[in-house]
Amino acid sequence: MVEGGAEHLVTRLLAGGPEGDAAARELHDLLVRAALAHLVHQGYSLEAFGADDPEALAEDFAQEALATILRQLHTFRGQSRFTTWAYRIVINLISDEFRRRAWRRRPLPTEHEALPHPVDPADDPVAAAERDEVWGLIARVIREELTPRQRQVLVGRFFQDKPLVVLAEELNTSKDAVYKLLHDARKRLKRALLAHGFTEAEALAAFERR
Amino acid sequence: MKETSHRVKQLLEAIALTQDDEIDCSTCLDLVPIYVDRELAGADPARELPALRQHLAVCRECLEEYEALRELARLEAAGGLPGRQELLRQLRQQRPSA
Ligand SMILES: [Zn+2]
Repeated sequence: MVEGGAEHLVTRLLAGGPEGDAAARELHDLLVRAALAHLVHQGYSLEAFGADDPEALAEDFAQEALATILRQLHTFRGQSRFTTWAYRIVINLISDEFRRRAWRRRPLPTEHEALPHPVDPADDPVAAAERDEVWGLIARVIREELTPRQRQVLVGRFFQDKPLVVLAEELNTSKDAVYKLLHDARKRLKRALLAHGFTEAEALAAFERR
Repeated sequence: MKETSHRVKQLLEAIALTQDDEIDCSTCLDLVPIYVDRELAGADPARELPALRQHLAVCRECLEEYEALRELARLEAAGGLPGRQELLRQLRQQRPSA
């Protein structure tokens, strides 16, 4: 493996002192390149971040990622390459910042709380009736059985395309807590479908038939 | 209302994939480097880490980051990320105004 250098970074970082400082500078440089590579591959524009200097933008993300990585260093178990373990942090930071900003800059606010009525003009009246029934059930559970927070994240996620990080900010909580709300909401909907005699596959098939 | 039907379909797909126990995004973020490296090593991480596979199927944001990480890890394994100047050049090339 050509990567022995990067793997030694962990030992040097943990050792601290001048050697640790040098290792932190090397890691920072790797993170700047990872940030730039991520911007390239996602095709993110600098404007999306309100930036005009790509190197400064990448330096900022690398600095923030480095602080997180140094804090979490003791949890690295060597089950992956150190670089893969480290790059996930900078990717996560950049992606969430992009989502946050993209949401703020979206062209039209979509703050309607009402659930839409999704029935295509029916080619097949039987399929249309089944769709109506499935959707009627789903919409009723969303309106009547979910908690207000579960409803807010489910509607936000599936009908407004709201990023998890934005939902977390709205609810003043963490992304993990938002995920848990979504998970509980999905479980509730799954149980409701089953209780009404629909397997998930049948419910889905109703929306796949034309 | 084709758009809305599409959204309902996505919701029903997510419901169909729902498990009683699921890992959250932080756990996904902790496991995803192992998944990516196992995948690049030619192993079958979907079988080794089914809970992570399931999370990636229902969480499109984690899926996006997993795909991005796989790309960087692939470059790293192939000899390292490109240098700073090369990446800056690629970025400039992508910008319509540059
Ligand atoms: Zn996730």
